[in-house]
Amino acid sequence: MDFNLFNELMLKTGILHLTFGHVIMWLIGCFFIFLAIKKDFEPLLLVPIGFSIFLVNMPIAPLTGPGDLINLFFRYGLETEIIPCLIFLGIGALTDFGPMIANPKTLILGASAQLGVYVAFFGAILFGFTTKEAASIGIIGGADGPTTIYLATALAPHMIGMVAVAAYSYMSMVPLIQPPIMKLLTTEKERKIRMKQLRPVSKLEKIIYPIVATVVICLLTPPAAPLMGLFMIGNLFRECRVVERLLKTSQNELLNIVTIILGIAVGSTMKAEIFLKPQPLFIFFLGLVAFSFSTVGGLLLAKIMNLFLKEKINPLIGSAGVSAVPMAARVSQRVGQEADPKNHLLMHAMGPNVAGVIGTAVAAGMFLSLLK
Amino acid sequence: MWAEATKVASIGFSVVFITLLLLAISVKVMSFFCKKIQSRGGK
Repeated sequence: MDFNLFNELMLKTGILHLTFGHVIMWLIGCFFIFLAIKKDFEPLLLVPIGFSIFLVNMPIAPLTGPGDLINLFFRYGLETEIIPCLIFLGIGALTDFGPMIANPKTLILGASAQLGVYVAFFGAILFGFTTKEAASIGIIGGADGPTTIYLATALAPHMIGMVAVAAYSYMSMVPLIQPPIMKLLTTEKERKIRMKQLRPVSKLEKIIYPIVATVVICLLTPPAAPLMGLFMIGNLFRECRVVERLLKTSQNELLNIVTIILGIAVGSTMKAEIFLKPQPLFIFFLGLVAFSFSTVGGLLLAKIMNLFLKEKINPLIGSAGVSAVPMAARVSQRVGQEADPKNHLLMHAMGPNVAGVIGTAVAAGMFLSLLK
Repeated sequence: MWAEATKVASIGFSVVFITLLLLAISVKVMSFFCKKIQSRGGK
């Protein structure tokens, strides 16, 4: 009798349900937390993602079943696409479009830096993924976490965790991935090109810009409207300077709250039975391919533009077109200063950097309209 | 599958380019009119 009771009790604990896969996932979760704390790799996301991986791999814990807490985060936050859009609101409230308005040709660099998205898209098909899955993998090359999650939610929800983690991992590794490619594709002379100081942009231009951008983007790519619409509302909050409370909330409290829920919801998709397959390895490899080709696309177009422009642009700013704001722009500045310590490229690189955010959202919108 | 992928990629990449090109032109036009309005306001 007592023995039966003991057996029954044991079955109600997680101990007998624990598998080797769960333990591997605990280690992966701890590795993410280590990367965030020790290496400062995207800590705002990797800490909640890492702990969530740890948590959802606790056997028989009521966390991800229908109606369970983390399942609710996932259902109402990610599946409804609310969270990526709210993150865009916060990013819009933090973004200064001034450098891009002062030099609009840098927008084109943001487009060419989407090259990696399509290279990885073909690569994924070659590896046997479906077109919808391939689009969700390719978009990693845009180096934009919320857009990656937005697209994966719509096209390949079973892959959200893997593509999100790949996107955020590579975003945090921009300073390691980009410089060798930048140095390989540019000459010392090109890296030393100094660009004219940007003109000051008026308050009126900054206020009208989100309205103009919304009209152009939403008319040409309607599926990008949820992301771009909220991005531009956030930016209008910032530039109009009459809604200080809304601006502060968008930049701080709201962004922080949705980041927590996003991290937990993304981590919850990484269960042992889904993650411990060869697929994630392919996704991580293709993500690296996407990132590298996006860097190449931006650099090459900047070089091509220099054949026609009177005032040359430093090709290093092209690599900032991969989004990853503002890290990619900082990398352009750093590599530029290695060639010429008095060359300041940061503000020039911010143009393609924010253009890359728009470019990735448009690329995602096109995938949605063609594949959904 | 490859035919569909090629179609998706070529249309997608072209639209990204066209959208950002048109946005660049719109920004130029917007800046031109903003400067006009502000110079009128200054007079």
